Parts: sequence; C-alpha cells; structure tokens
Amino acid sequence: MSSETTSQRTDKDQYRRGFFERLRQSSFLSELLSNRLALLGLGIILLIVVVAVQARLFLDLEAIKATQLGTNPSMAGPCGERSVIAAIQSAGSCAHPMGTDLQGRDIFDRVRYGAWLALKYGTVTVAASTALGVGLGTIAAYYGGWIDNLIMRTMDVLLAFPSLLLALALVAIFGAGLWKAVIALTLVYTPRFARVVRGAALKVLEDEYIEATVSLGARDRRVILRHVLPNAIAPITVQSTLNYGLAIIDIAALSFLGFGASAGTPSWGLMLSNGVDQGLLSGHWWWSFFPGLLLALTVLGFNLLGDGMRDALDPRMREAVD
Amino acid sequence: MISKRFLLKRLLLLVPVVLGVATFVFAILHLSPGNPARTIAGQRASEEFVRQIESDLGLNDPIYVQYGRFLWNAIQLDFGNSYVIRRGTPVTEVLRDRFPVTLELAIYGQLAGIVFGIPLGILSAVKQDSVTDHLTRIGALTGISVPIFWSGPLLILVFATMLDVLPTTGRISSDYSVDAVTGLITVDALLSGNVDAFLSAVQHMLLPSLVIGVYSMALISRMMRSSMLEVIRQDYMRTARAKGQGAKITVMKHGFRNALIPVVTIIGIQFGSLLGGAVLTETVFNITGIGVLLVEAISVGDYPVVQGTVLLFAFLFTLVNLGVDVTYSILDPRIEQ
Amino acid sequence: MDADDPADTESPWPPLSRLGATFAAGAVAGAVTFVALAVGTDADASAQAFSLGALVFGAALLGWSTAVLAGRGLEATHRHLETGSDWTEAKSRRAMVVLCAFGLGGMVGASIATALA
Repeated sequence: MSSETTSQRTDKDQYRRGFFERLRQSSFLSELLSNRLALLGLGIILLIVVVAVQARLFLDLEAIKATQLGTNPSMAGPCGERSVIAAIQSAGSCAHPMGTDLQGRDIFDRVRYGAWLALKYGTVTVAASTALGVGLGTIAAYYGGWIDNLIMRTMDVLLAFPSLLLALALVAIFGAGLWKAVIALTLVYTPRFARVVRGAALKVLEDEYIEATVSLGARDRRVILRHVLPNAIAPITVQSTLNYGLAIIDIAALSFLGFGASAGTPSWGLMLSNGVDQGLLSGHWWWSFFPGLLLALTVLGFNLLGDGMRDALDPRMREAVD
Repeated sequence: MISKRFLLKRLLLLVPVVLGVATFVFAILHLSPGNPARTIAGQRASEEFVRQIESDLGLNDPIYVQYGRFLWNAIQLDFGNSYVIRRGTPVTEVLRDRFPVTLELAIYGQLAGIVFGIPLGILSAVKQDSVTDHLTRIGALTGISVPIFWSGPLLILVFATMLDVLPTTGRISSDYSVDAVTGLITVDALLSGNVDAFLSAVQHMLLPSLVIGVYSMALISRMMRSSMLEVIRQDYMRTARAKGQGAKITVMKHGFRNALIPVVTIIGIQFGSLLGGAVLTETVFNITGIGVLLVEAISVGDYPVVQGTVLLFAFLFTLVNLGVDVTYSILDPRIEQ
Repeated sequence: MDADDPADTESPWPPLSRLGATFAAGAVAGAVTFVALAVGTDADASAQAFSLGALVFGAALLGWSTAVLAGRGLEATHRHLETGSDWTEAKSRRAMVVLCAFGLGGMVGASIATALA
C-alpha cells in the first residue's frame, strides 16, 4: 500500500533514483492507479488505519477490557433493540451503536481497538516474515549451490503444509498467546517470501550488468543492496500485501480457536469466538456480527489491493488483458 | 491410464506418511512444555502417582528407546490411549466415531467448491472484462477474504434465526435416530429409508458445506478463469474460431478439456487448506468431527489424539491426491503412470 | 544457479556421498545441541536435542511424501501462478531426502552424545 506514497517522497533521493525512475517508466504504477478495485482496496485500508490509530490514541485498553456489569447490565443490542431491522434503523444514534457484550462492554469501542490490534500484530507478522524471507531468499540466490539448496528445500518442506494446520502444530510447541501466534505464523509465511525474493533476485543476477559489477570487484553487500533488493521490491510488496490479509485472518483464526488473545482482549477473533459460543443461538447477533464485519472488510481491502498489484506486475496477465 | 502397480505404489506411500506424522508428533510431544504424565494424572494428583504413570508410559527410558516404541506402535496403527479427552479409551475408538463426520463435511464442501467454481471460472473467462467477469472476480475475492468463522455465523443468523428455514447446528434433528452404518449421516439416513430424516440431514449439511466450500470455490474459479484464458489465446483456438464455428462451441470443444488439467491439479493441493477450514467450520457449526477434536487435543495436551487426528488428515490428503491423479490421467491420456 | 549437472537433475535421489555428509553434519549438530542444552539447563537435554532432530526428520519425511503425492500438481501450479519458479518434483524429493538424512543424523548424534555423557 505504501509503494506509491514512498515513491513520491523519496523521488529526489539520488541513491535510489535509478529504481524509481525504472518504476515510473514501467506501467506498474499507472496500471495500478487505473485499477478501480485496487483503489477501493486502498481506500478501505486507509479507513481502517484511521480507525485503528484513532482508537489507539483515544481509547484506554484497560477500560475496554474491564467488565462493565455494574453500570450496564442489560447486554443490549444496538440502541437496546433486539431485532435486526429495528437496530439498523436506529443505528448510530445512540450510546452504543454496536450494542454491548456479555460483560456490558461497548462493542463499538472494542471493535475499533480490535482494528489497532489486528493491524499491529498483522504488521509485525508480515514485517518479520518479509525480513526473514528477504534475507534467506537473497542469500540463496546470491550464493547458490548447496546454500541455495539447503535454504530453499527447507522452505519447500514448510510450504507443503496447509498454513492453518502448520500454525496449529507450531502453537502446540510454543503454547497459546498472541505473540506466540505471531511467531508461529511468521515461520509459516517466511517460505513464500523467500521463494518470491529468490526468484526476483535470480533474474537480476542473471542480467549482464551485475556480472560486470561483480567482475569490477564490487562487494557482495553493495551488489545486493544496490541492484538485487531494489529490483525485488515490487514483487515483495505484492506478496506482503496479499499476505497481510492472510495474516490478519490467521491471527484471528488462532484467537478464535483459543490459541491467541487472552480473555478480555478486544481482538476480533476472540470477540467472534465469544459471540459464536454464547450469543449466536441466544439472539445476541451483534456480539459476533460487528467484529467479523470489520475483519472481513480489512482483509478484503488488502486482497483487492494486492490482487490489483499482482495484475499490474504480472506480464502474462497484462498480455491477457490486451 | 492408471496401472495397478501405480496404485499400489501410491498406497505404499502411506508408510512414510505414518512414520512422518508419528515422528513429527513425537517431536512436538517432547518439545512442548508440560509433562504427559502430569497431563494424564491431572493438576492435583500426588507426585508419586505422576511418577507411577511416568514409569508405566516408559517416560524414563532413554529417548531413542521411547522413539522406537512410539514408531513401532504407530506402524501397527496403535496410537495408545487418550490422555484426557476420553481418558483411557483407545484413540482408534475415539476416532472411529468422529472421522466420518469430517469426511462427510470435506466431501460435500469440496463438491460445492468444484460444482460452483468451475462454471463461474468458465463464465468469467468467456465473458472476459464484462460486468459478469468483474462480479465473479470480486465475488471470488470476497470469498477468500471472508473468514469461515464469520460467514458461518452470518449464514446461521440469516437462514436459521431470521428466516427460520434451516437448522442452526448439529448434524440431524433430534427427532430422528438413525443407526450408524457408515457414519456418514446423510448416507445412514438414506439407508434407514426415512425420507424426513434424510432431508433433515441434508438441511444440516447445507450451510457447513457451503461455508467450507467457498474458499475452494474461489480458488478453483480463479484458476479456471486464468487457465481458460490461456487456452483461448492459443493458436489452435484462433484457428478454430477463424474456421467459423460458433465461439461458444469452440470454447467447449477445444478449450475446456485442456483448461481443466491445471485446475484438477490445484484441487489436490488446496484440499489441505480445505481440511484446515474443516477445523474452523466444525467449531462454528458445533459439528463433532476430528477438526474440533484436534483443537481440543492440542489445547489440553492429549498427544495420542493429536497423532491420530493428524494422521487421518494426512490419509484424506493422500486419498484425494490419488483421485486427482486418476482424473488427470483420464483428462490427459498421454501421461503414462 | 543450481550446481547440479543436467543428468543429476532428473534423478529424485541425491548421491550417497552428499547423504553421508549431511548425515554427519546432522550428527554433529545434534551432539552440539545436546551439549549446549545440557550445559544451559538440567534435565531434558537429551530428549530436546533428539526431538529437534526428529522434528526435521518427520517434517522432511512428510514433505517427501507430499512431493511424491502432489508433485505434478505443485509443478503445474507453480508453472501457472508464479512465472519463474523452478520447483520440480525431482528436485524437491532429492532435497527432502537430504533433509531426512540431516534430521536422522541429529537424532543419532544426540543419542550418541547422551550415551557418552
């Protein structure tokens, strides 16, 4: 999501100019910007970011976690209504626009704080697996031979398992908790990044100019920093964006299954779990509806943007559109 | 075509699968915090009692002796007794009741994915860049974005609570009692000859299989679309079109069979994610299959049950991929097995 | 980029010498892990070191089975979705066998180190 904003900010940065000139000349940006769905995704993401930051700045986590049974024992729906239609009609015009939960806590506040948590843990997961994947992928591509084999084939083993089941296996080793879920998912996602980065880096390294640079005696780090990484940024960004949605879903799924957030934390997954367990059959639909809505919307935003980016990137798909 | 020798070789693969799962679970068991003997005995049991269980289980033997014994038991499909969930009951017995439940869910879910995914993908490709195409693609993307643990409750809310046309949770209405023959509730109800019971079972299966199939449907339709587009752009398709046949017939005749090949192969691979989805779907719809069993077993540390469930998941994966191989060789007879 | 010659690339089995070397490397790693754990903590160093080897071995064995089972599907998917991926069934199987050797080496190394200690 940040590729175009960063490109404008650092445009005059001499050091990286070559890369951004190339990016501008390629049709990637213009194509992405002409993709309405991708822009819609970007809009959704920005909206969620604003909600999350606002919640982080103005809401008090301890107050959100604390049970409010003494002050509001009614577990009311939005505006105290129990029927869906009546609630939609009067939505937004009352003290608790999304109702209150079993402990009398305001769901609107909890859902907004949940946005902050989802983005926070999602960002850490994606950033960590990107960093690991970039490191491993670049090393594999640059050095080749048995190092390449060792790294990539280990990644292959991890790639062979379904992501949620592998995450469950890792959680069985690490134990439950949000940060442990983040570590487990980081390990699950790293192979995807390593594969993408290695592929991109190999293409760059095969180009003649790298061979020329190497023969002139450029040092490894310089070649990787100045030639390999800048050229791999586009595919990495696409992979990160697509993976962001997946990370947010999987973190929520682990919380939903009871291996993530601890009781009381306003995480979407946990709120959904409580809502499904206790509220679904008793008519408290708003307990699970609103956290899930925000979760689905956020993930859709990342998937729309990521999909648009992939279409803009993939030459084969571009050919198909022509 | 598929030869008997090929089938036999594939089934022999179950041996390394069993060994691999057993080794993996053995490693998890010893790497995870907590003492199995303590798990069995319970938190309040006396120290002597825990020691007693430890020596009964052979936990004091050297680790390689334990591993050897573990493997030997696993290869005979003896996973021991459940630690906690059904304390003392052989795992195979626990799994026998639960496995058909997940099997049924996975079959219907996968069928839903294929039955809806393939036509949608073709439609999208044939009407490339039309409104239909865009709607299908957005639909597929939404399908991937909406988590099972939200779409499930939402469907329950709409169809069960608001419209009151479908049941909420479980596998069959409590009005009917059906003898378990195969364990697949729809098949059992059909075998019992009670039409109402069968309808009830089908109604109960409808929402869960839809929910679990959505992800697979989205993936299959996306793959079908791109595969179909690729085939359409190929030369022989252009030639066929130039000869003046109707565009639709051309697509059906030449394109479909070739375009289906990569789609079939992806079904085998995405089946793994479908099994991951089964874990969530069973939790949402309160269906007591091996998915919820796995989650429960991991959270209480019941490793014999973990091993059994993981092995069954692997077994299902193996079978589906075998089915994919058979389909593949029918679609593309040039492939020698 | 792959160091192997073309004839070798076709075979799903790695050369014995490489298996032996990886096995030895795994054994050393297993023994070192055991010593490191035994110095750092007290009780379960043997079980932990052995289990780490078993984790690698078990995962690689499952990975190998998956490669054989779904190999063609994976190859087709990679060809289709990611241009430029060079995943092949034979390469993957070879690598998994090597990883199996490493894991087994770790298990044996940890056991021997335990017996000697």
